[in-house]
Amino acid sequence: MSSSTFSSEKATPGPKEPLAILIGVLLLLALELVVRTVPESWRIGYTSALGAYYEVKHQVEAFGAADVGILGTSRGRESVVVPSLQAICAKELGDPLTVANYSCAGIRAREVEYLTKMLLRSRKKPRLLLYVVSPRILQGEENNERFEQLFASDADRRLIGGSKKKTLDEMISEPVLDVLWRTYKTFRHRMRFHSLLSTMARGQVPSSPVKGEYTMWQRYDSGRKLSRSGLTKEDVNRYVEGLMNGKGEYVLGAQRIKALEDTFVVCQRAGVPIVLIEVPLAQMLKEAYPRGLYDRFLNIMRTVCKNAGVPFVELDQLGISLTDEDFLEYSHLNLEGAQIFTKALAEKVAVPMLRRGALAKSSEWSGRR
Amino acid sequence: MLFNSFHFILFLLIVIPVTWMLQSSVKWRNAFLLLVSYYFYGCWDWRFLSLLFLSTLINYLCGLALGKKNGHSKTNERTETKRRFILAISLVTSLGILGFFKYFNFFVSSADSLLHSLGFQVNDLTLQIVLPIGISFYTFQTLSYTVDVYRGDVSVEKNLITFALYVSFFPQLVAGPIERAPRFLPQFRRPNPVSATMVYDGFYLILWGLFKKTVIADNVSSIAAASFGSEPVSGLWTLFGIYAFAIQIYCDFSGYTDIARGTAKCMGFDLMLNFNLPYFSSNPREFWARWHISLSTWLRDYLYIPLGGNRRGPVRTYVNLMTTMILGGLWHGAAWTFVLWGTYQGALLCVHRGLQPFLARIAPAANSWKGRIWSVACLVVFFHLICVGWMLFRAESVGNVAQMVRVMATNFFGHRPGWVNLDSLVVLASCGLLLFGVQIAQFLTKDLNCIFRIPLWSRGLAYFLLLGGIIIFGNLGSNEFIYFQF
Repeated sequence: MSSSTFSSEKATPGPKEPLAILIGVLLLLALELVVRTVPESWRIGYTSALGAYYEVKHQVEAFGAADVGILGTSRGRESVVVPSLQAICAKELGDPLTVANYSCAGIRAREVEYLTKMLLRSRKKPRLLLYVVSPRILQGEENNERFEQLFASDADRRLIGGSKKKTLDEMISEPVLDVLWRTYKTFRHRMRFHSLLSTMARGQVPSSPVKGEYTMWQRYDSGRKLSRSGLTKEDVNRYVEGLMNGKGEYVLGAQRIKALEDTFVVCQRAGVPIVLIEVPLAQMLKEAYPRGLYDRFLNIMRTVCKNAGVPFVELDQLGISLTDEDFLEYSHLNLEGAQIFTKALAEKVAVPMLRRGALAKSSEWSGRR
Repeated sequence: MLFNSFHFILFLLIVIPVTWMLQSSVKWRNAFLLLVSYYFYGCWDWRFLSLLFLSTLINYLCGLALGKKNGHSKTNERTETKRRFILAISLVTSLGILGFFKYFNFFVSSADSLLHSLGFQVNDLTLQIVLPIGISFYTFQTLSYTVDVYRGDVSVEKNLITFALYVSFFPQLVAGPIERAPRFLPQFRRPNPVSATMVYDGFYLILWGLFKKTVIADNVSSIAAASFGSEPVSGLWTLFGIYAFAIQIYCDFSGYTDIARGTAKCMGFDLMLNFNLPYFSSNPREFWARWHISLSTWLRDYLYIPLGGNRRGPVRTYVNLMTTMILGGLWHGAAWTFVLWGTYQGALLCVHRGLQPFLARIAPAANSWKGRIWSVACLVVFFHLICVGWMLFRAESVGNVAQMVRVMATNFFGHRPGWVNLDSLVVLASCGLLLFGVQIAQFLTKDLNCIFRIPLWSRGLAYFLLLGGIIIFGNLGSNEFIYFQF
């Protein structure tokens, strides 16, 4: 090919270029005005990945906490069918209370602690918190939570900031981003644009458990089953190996156990009951864990809960039996499985706890073990 | 200090106006720019400033010494020996520093593996060496100066501050373009009045560079990382991951270059064009005239041509091409995958050179419809050959490359891996369409600045889309540019 196909920088900006830039900036301001005029609930976008953290933050700041809040990782998100839980509670209690699932994919115990604090300082406090746990929430020893700052109060943020060494880049960029976040709604609600694009691409309307709706998988992937997924033991082993440290250990971090204890303390101080619940996992995942890990996890939960006087509900206490047909894959329940788990959770945990109110402490559940 | 950080924006908001104010005094302007360049570099790791000083000082002194010898009216054999000796000092120290920091562990561990495979027991000799950022770039830039002085292509720079600024000018210090003394040094010797046109042009380049980095490169990076980080299960989806990396590496590196050029322009300096629509190349020779132009011309002028270029017969030409490209590959990083990548690029150049007469014979006339189809087919085929290169470049290990090739050859339509979902497809498709849409316009108009040809209102809309895209879809975290590691 001859060199004539090469492009060069020929055209140059004219004297009217600032006007073009000004038009660009004015269009940005117009977009900001549009964003500001739409209702708050419409501004909050939902994406099931990391965007969920932002949605939880916006939702709680705008509308306060739901009466019943569910905390946990994506396993917690998929294990509870929020509309069903809401319906059962409303029917049993005769009270149209609100339910929201604040579980976020990959969340760790320290982030849950700050999320809980945010729920407790919101304009409407929760009446009950259901903390759905698996080893994943404690996994890892390093202090590398990404979203604790997002949920933290200004005072807490200064504390968190003080404990971590920041680079000069972070020290300059973070306050600027913070101001942008607080004042510029287009930037604050940028997730909404992402979810709009996702909706257009998928042809699926976002469904948010944070707003009391089904999860996206529950609504659109309800037919998926582990038994038909084609996943093998090797796939699960690879997944578990990916969670191990350099020495091949699956660490249940001491810092994260401490965060769990701190979460109980803040709930007790606020007078909001919290219940810890073991999340159902497929047998093939439990088998893929290093020998004794799952029992060690359960023992830690029992000890921490007993010391704090917080109920810990294990699966055998719920009296349900789940098979591979009830899982999407090895980690998450599908809609069918989630309905079974939710019904038991509502009838044996949520309703009794709500009936007893904030004074109903943990004795019923913690006393059994 | 990353180009895509608020720290850098704040830094620019101070540096650019002060540079404008100091344009009337070249001495003060250069001193100021040198100071802020060292601050910029020191923000990464102030300890490595000493290496930058050392490299600057050695090449400055070698330049001065060579200048004295060049000034002799009669060059006899003794003078020539001294000149060669001075050049050797510069080469040995510059390449020595680069070699130690970048390649020591690589060569030692490779030798270690070789000896182990032969049954010898050796102690582990590798050291905990941190690679100083930008070392490959400023080493090549300083080397080119000394060689140019030796050749008499550039006059000696006697002012240490001017020379130090030539080595460490902050926009191009950590990832190029690798500038040459004859083009670049004179810009520091004179006042460079900054026109409004240069500032607008610079602003647009910075914006477009930021867009390419934060919106395109950083969004497709997760797809590339997932693809290269997991075991390949299907040829089609492996190829999909390679496409993602092709887009990522281009937008990451050319985005950095655009920001560097835009920043320099706003201060009255002109950095060379480093990318000229490389994915619109129809052969390897053209690709290297379009991709990382400052490196490829450096390798041509200081390695390929001194080795004999194409002047010593066909066999020697092929050997020279291979040597140049293998060393070019190794310049990118101390790993066998980079050596493999360089070898592959060298092989492509050799095969193309060998086939050129045949291709010229079978190619239809350029103006006919057959000729147009031929041109497009060449672009598509060669793009895929570049992608094969990116697979070698990005792979974690040579074994990983073998796995990917095997899967593409034996199981092209295998089952979809977990990291592929509709969202990743949409991200890749929209980023690809956006990038190639703009580039097709640049290619057809043969003008990289074709944005300035469109009507004012449309240009306003383009600025809105760039700014809005960065705000809404940009990854505003702290993602480093890929080429910083080289």
